[in-house]
Amino acid sequence: MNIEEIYLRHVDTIYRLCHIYLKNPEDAKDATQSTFEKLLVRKEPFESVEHEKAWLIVCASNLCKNMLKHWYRSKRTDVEEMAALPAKETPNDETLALLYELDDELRRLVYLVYYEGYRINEIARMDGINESTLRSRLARAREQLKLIMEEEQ
Amino acid sequence: MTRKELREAIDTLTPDRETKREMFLAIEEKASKPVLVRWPKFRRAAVVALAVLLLAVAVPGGIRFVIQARDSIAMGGSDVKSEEADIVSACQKEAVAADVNTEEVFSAENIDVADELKTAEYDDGEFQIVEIEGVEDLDALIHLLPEEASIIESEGTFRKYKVGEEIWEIRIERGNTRLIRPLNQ
Repeated sequence: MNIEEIYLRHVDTIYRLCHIYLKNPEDAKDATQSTFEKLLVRKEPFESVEHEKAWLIVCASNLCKNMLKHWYRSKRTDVEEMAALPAKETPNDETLALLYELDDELRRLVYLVYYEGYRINEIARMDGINESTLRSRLARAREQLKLIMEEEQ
Repeated sequence: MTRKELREAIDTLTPDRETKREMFLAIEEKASKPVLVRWPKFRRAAVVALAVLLLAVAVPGGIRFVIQARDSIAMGGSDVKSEEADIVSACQKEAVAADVNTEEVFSAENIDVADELKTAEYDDGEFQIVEIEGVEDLDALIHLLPEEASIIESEGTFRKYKVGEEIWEIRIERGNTRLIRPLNQ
């Protein structure tokens, strides 16, 4: 298992996913590194490149969820740092700002479906969730994005 | 919002070459470190092992507890059997001790009885005399005769016994019972 090859193949996907989850580049970098470090410990070979990618996505998602749940992240309010770096968690891109308004899970779903091109049944298999649940989540995400856009206008 | 706009927005999140290189170097650095440093599970296991060791050493009887626990796991309840054996042996010891005590009591009683009967013992140069005052019973001093003693003469107030070459007498005189035996010259 060549780590460098796998890294180069999937780093963009994993970094973007982590960024969408965590909403800032520094945490996204940490989560991406941690995801590939998990790969170092893994001994079983992957069945295919798709399997490899799915494993990394699930691993990165779990790491990001853990980071979001972490007490330090949920409690911290470093006012000085926020003042010095105002753009860190506020993307300049308007569309991205709208995307960041969605719940964590909905953001991930939108990214995987509309950017990575995953189908609902593939995500359902990856996460072990019912397809209909994912469909209703995606519908809710679309609805929320539409509503937000209307509010902005 | 169109799908194209969304894709373009997410495209901006793609890391640049420098960021990717930086992250890969960090991952490589972690990979080059020894497994102990890289793998937190090993660290956790090491901490647990250290804690067990400290418990075994620091707590009084801790190491014995650990060894007993290991032995009981290995031998499957042999501790219970050994405890039972200990109890049985303790009971046996107590029983033996009780026997010894009983013997001691009996012998002490015998001594007491003999002391009660032996009210006076003296010799007059030719005979040794054991006398019980106030008792008129020819059997009262019979226990002092040796086993080989055989009766050779008997009257209402005296009995004569042959003990080897000697003649012993038990006699009632003036309200007392006397055992009279010749002194060895």
